[in-house]
Amino acid sequence: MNDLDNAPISDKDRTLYAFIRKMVRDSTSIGQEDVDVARKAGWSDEALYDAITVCSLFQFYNNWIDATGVGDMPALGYEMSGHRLATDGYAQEPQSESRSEPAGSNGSRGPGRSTSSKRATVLNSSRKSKAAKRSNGSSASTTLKRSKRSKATNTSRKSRRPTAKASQGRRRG
Amino acid sequence: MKPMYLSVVENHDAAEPHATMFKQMRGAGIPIPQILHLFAFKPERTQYLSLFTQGVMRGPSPLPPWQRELIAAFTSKLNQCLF
Repeated sequence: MNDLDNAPISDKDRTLYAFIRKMVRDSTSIGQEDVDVARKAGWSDEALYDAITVCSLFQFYNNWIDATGVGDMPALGYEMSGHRLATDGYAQEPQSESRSEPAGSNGSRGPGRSTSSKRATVLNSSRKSKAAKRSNGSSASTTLKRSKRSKATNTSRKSRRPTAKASQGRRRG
Repeated sequence: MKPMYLSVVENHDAAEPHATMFKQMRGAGIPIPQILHLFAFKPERTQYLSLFTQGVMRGPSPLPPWQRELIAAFTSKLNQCLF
């Protein structure tokens, strides 16, 4: 998660996450050549469409919660949330599309949450980093973000997040 | 848990289905994730966001759900957002 270049993942996966990283940093920088590289690595247009949609949706969620001041949850909240997402999914009536996840029975769902025992400690600095990004342009904040990112490294998220258990929680931390 | 910036949104009297959900969580001593207040404030529109999210994250796709979760987490991580 913190070091894409050295993460123990396949080159195919690395290509996808590099695409996502570029998209998050500056989606206007994405061009036909980036898509072609991903295709060459073995990703179908449908897979890329889905990946881009997931990324875009969570960019929205990130903005939504940051600007409204949605904060951290106690660890219990994350455990419940992870369990809920793993068992119920995100919405009450997903039957039209859901393949294997049973429909939930208690209402609308929030977005996925990774768990982090460190969120409380990085939250303020992350907000500062975002503020810096907005006011100072990108280069300084990119450095800042990188350093924050590495500080935010943790493995506890993996163990707390049932939805991530399918694989590779390590890349979270 | 710190209060949200938007107190009206956080303290809004939720309609169903959120009202029951919140009541159950309070009854069980579970803290209500604040993001649910964002959904509960205007459910007539966020219901579509929930369904959209469910489709995006769990609907048929060449990418298995775990990989979509990982993309979501990676996106949030890059954004310094730990959700």
